[in-house]
Amino acid sequence: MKPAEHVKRLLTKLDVDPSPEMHERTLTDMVAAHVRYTERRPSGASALWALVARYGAAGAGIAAIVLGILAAAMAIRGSATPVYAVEQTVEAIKKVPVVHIIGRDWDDRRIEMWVKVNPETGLMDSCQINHLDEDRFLVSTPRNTYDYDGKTNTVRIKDGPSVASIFCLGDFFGGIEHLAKQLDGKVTYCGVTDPGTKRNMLELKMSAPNLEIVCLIDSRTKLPISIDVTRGARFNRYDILRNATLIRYDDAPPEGLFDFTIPAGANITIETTQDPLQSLPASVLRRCGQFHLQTTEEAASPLGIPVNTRLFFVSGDFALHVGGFIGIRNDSNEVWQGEVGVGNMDPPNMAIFDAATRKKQQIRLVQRRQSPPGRFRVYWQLDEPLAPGQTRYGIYWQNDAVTMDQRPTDHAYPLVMNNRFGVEGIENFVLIVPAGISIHDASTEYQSREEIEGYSLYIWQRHLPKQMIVNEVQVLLSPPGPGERQ
Amino acid sequence: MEDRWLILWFKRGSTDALCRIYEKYERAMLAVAFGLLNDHSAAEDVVHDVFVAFAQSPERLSLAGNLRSYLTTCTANLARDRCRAIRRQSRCLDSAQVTSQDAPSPLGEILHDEQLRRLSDALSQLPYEQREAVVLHLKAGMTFGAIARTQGESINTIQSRYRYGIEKLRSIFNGELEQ
Repeated sequence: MKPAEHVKRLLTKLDVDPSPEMHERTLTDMVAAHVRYTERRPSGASALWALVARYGAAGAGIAAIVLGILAAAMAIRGSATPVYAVEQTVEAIKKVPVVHIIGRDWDDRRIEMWVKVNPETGLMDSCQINHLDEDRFLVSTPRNTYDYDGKTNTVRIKDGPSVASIFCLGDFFGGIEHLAKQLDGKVTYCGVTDPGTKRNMLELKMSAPNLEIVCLIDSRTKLPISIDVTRGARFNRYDILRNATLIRYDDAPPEGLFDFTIPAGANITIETTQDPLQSLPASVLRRCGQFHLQTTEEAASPLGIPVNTRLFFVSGDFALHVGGFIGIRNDSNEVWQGEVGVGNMDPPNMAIFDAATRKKQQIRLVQRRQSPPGRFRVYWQLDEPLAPGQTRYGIYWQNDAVTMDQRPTDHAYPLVMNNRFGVEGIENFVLIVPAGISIHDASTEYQSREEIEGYSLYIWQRHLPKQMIVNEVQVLLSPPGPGERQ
Repeated sequence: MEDRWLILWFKRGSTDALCRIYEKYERAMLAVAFGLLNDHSAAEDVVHDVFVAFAQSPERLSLAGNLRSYLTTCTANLARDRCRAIRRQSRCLDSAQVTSQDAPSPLGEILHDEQLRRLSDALSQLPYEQREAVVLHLKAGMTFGAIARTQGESINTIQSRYRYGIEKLRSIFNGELEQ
C-alpha cells in the first residue's frame, strides 16, 4: 500500500472512545447551560412565527404559511364542522395581490413587510421587509434575495431561497398538528367577537409548554388578521417577526417596491451557489443527457414507462458526488408555468442545474406526510414557460460529497450505486471517473464505456419491474497506478 | 433524525434535540480534537466546552447550515486556541520532542490498535497548521475551501499545508514500513 494512502486510511479510521466520566460531565453541564439559557430568555423556547416571518422573507411566502396553519386547523378539527372550509381561504388568499404586514421583532422594533402573492400558487412571489427603526431592508424575488444594510452600505445577494427556507415551509406548517404533538401541545380554535368592531373571528391557537401562537382569522373575508407568538424563543435577527399585529390586504404597494436598485457605492457580496461539478467538461454531462434521451426515445417511450438516470461522479481524490438527470416534458395542450413536480427525494440537500446552461434552478421541497420523515417531494420552479411538446432537462446534485474509503487489502475503493425508483421504468447508472481510475471488479458488468475529454463513463441499464426493488451495482475502483496522472 | 429537524427542535428549546445532537457528534468531535491535540484529556475538555457553548447559542445556528461542519469548526477553533495557550506556556505540541514509540502515552489506553497510536504520534510531529489541514480534511471531511474560510487563509495555502503534512506523514510511515 502506498504510504500516503495508508495514512489517509488510518486517519479516516481514527476513533476515540469518550470516557464515561467525560460523557456524563459534558451531558450534565450542557443540559444545565441550555436550561439556564432558555430561562434567561424573556419568553420561553420556541418561535414558529419567527420562522414564518424569516422564511417568508427568504423566499417562500406568508400566504403559504397562513394556508398551512389553516389547513392544519381544519385537519385537526376532523369531523367537526369547520367555521369555513379551507378551500375558501385558499381561494381568498389567491385573490389577494399584496399582503401588507406590520409587526415587531424580539426587541420590540417595528418591522414592515410587503408580500406579493402568486395568484396561481398562492405562494409568495416577491417580498420586501423594512426595519423601520434601522436603515436596513430586504427584497426577495423569485430569482434573488437582496439584503441591504445601510449602516455598512452593503448588499448581500443570494440566488433564491435557501433549501432550509423551503424545508420549513410547505407541508411543514401544514404539519402543525405534528408539531404540536412533538411539543406536547395542541391546536384549538374557537369563534370570537371583537368587542369594539363586533367583527366575528376565528381564533386558532397552537399551545405547547414552550410555544404558543395565536392567529385570528376574519370570518367574513376568510383572511388572517393577526398572528402572535405569545410564548416563544428569542431570535436576534432583524428580519424575524415576533408578531404581526396588523395584516392588511387592500393596501396599494409603493411603486417599484419589489425592484431592488443597488445603492451607489454599496459594497456587494454575492452568495451564489455554484454547480459543484463545474470542473466536469460540459461534453461529459451532455453525453449523459444524450444517453438519457436516447433511452427515453428508444426503450422507454414505446413501453410508456419513465427513465431514471443516476450520476455517480468520483473525483481524482475519490470524493463521490451523487446526482441525477431530471427531464420534464409538457405533454399537455397548455403552456406550463410556475412549478412542476419532478419526483421524490430522501435528502433535501440538493440543487438542480439546467442541463444546457448549468444555471442553478429554483426548487421547492415539500416534506411528504405519508412518507417516513426526511422524504421530500421536489418541485422545479420554472424560470420560463414550457410550451406543449417541449422538454427540459436538469441535473441535480446532492450538496455534500462523500470521501470514499479505501480497502486495506487491495487498495481498491468500493462504491455501491443503488436506488429505489418505486415504479416500472428504465434506470441508468452512469459512473464518471477521471482517466486513470479504473473498475477493478463489479457485481454487474457495465453495458458501455466511453472516454470523453479525460473522463471515463461507465453505464449500467436495467428495466425495473413494477414492484419496488433496490437496484444496486457494486464496483471496486482502482486508483491510478504509478506514473499515471489522476 | 435528520440534522435539520434536530436543529429546528433545538432552536425551539428542545433539550432532547440537544442531547441527540451531542450523542450523534460526540465521538466525531472527540476524534477531531484528539487528532489536533494528541492529548485525550485536552480533547475531552475541548469537546466539553464546545457542546456547553453550543447549548447556549441556538440562535447562531442556521437551519440551512451543516451541523457537522459547524461543530467541527467550533472544535477546531477551540483546539487552536488551546494549542496557542500551550505555545504561550512554551509547551506547544509543535515544538515538543517527538514522542518515543516506547514512551508511555495516553493513546495506548484509548486507541484500538497500534497503527492508530503510531498515526497519532506521527501527527504530533507535524506543525499545527499542517496537522489541522490534514485532520480537518481527512478526518472531518471538510473541503479545503471550508477550512480556508474558517482559518481566514487562501485555499492554496491550506492545500499546501495539507500536501506538506501528508508528505511528512508519508515519510514518517515510509521509514516505519521500511524498518
